Amino acid sequence: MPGTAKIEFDDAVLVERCRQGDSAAMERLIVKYQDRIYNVILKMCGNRDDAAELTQDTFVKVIENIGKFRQQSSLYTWVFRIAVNLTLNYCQRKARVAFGSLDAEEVGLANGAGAALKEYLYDRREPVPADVAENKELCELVIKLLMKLDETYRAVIVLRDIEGMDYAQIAEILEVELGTVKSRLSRARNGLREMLEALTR
Amino acid sequence: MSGEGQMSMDKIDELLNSFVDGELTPREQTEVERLILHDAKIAARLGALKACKLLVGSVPVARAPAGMAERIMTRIRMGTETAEGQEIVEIRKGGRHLMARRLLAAAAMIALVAVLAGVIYTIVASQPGADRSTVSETWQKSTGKAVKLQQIAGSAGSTMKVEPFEGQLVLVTRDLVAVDAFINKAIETNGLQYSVTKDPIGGNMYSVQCAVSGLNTLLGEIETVWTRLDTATLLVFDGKAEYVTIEDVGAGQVGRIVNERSIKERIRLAKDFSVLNNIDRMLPGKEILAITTERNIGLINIPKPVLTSGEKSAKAGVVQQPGGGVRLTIVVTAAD
Repeated sequence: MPGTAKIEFDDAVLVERCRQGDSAAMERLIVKYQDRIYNVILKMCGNRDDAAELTQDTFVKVIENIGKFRQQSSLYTWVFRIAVNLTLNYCQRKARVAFGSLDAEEVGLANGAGAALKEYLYDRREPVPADVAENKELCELVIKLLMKLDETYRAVIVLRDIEGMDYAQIAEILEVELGTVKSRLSRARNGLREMLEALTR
Repeated sequence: MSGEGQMSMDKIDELLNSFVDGELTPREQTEVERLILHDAKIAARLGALKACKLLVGSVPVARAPAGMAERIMTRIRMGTETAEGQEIVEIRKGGRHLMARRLLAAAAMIALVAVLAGVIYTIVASQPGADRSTVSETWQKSTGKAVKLQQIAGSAGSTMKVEPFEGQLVLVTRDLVAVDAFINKAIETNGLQYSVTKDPIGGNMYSVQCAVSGLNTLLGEIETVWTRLDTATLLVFDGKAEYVTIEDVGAGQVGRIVNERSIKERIRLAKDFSVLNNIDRMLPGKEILAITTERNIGLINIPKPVLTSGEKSAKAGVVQQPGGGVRLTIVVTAAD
């Protein structure tokens, strides 16, 4: 499980040491979470450089505000909340992605990806995740389609399907009701499914 | 599809998503499983959702670029340095703020001292010029003891009309018998016109009618009794049913007020003494009254009659003022 409801002992120690200005503890905290934070930010913003910058911003904010962390939630949730909020702000500022018409050319769907997508969507056999992950073109397509979603829907689907958080954690991070998480996730997946189906027509 | 139908579909979608994510209660899960079994359309929808979820979840995890932690640490250190720089600025600002506060405090102290000085000055300066010019102070040896004598010589010759004084002096003491006897004797000895009534709570009320000079003499004699008092309060009436109360009043202050020529001046001086005494009560060392009594001894002390010889001539020395009689009720009462 990526996150836990209560703060782990290790995190509590890290937090305390960070508060005391222990640089080694700060570095340890960064190393512990940097990949996951970077991955989520990248899937939300779609740009490696921006994701790297936002990841740095996240950890700088985390360290700067570690004294305000009241340990009522897990450090994991708190760090992700900062990361997601920074990324959502960034996305809204940039307004890079918007819902709109979708065609294969715009998304850059290669012939190979199109075929793989059709096979994936209409093959009645249970798909194997490893096979999907190996299909680089299909993965790139998914990332591009994710960018077509509204950032609030994108955030929910990334936190659930990529980071593997449960609904309660997502609600805590996004500071919304559990019902809102459910409805956003439903809309996000439906939107994604519709886009995928549109590409195969 | 109708709105109601759409809502229903949205609800089903939410349930299916929750089913896929394992977020349903056992009861809801059973419900959804039954739906899937009986509705091929819903089963297809569930399949699509699962595929979608798997597709997104299958996207490879990206790792943070190399050196990310070092770069973050560098930024944090730089930020700390900047923060420290700002802290120094803040400390400097704080220092300036502290200095400003000290200056303000000093200014407030100066202002307070100025106000007090003003009050003291008005008290000191309120001694009528005519009186002050005619006050003769002589030091005579009387039975080997230095006695300060003052004469308000100008009182008799003054043509300025003196307004009558009316007031009440309340002396509270635990040594009621001795103090009462002392006051009584002093009034009688000085030949002052008076009447006495019993105070309901114990003690006596002496209604004294005399000239200002007569009261000066009386005050001069009873001044020593102040050490045996718990409290002494003077009420100065303004002739219009209003009065000023001076708590912890001294014999000298009573004398000073009575010796003012007009009611207006008496009221003003009474108010000044009232403020002064109130402030003095709040100060631990009684500095204010110490200043007024030590530095202005000739002015604050009770004007006493001149002794022109070694014989007891206090009564003879009393110079009666034209008009301006004194009506003072001296209440000698017991402390609780």
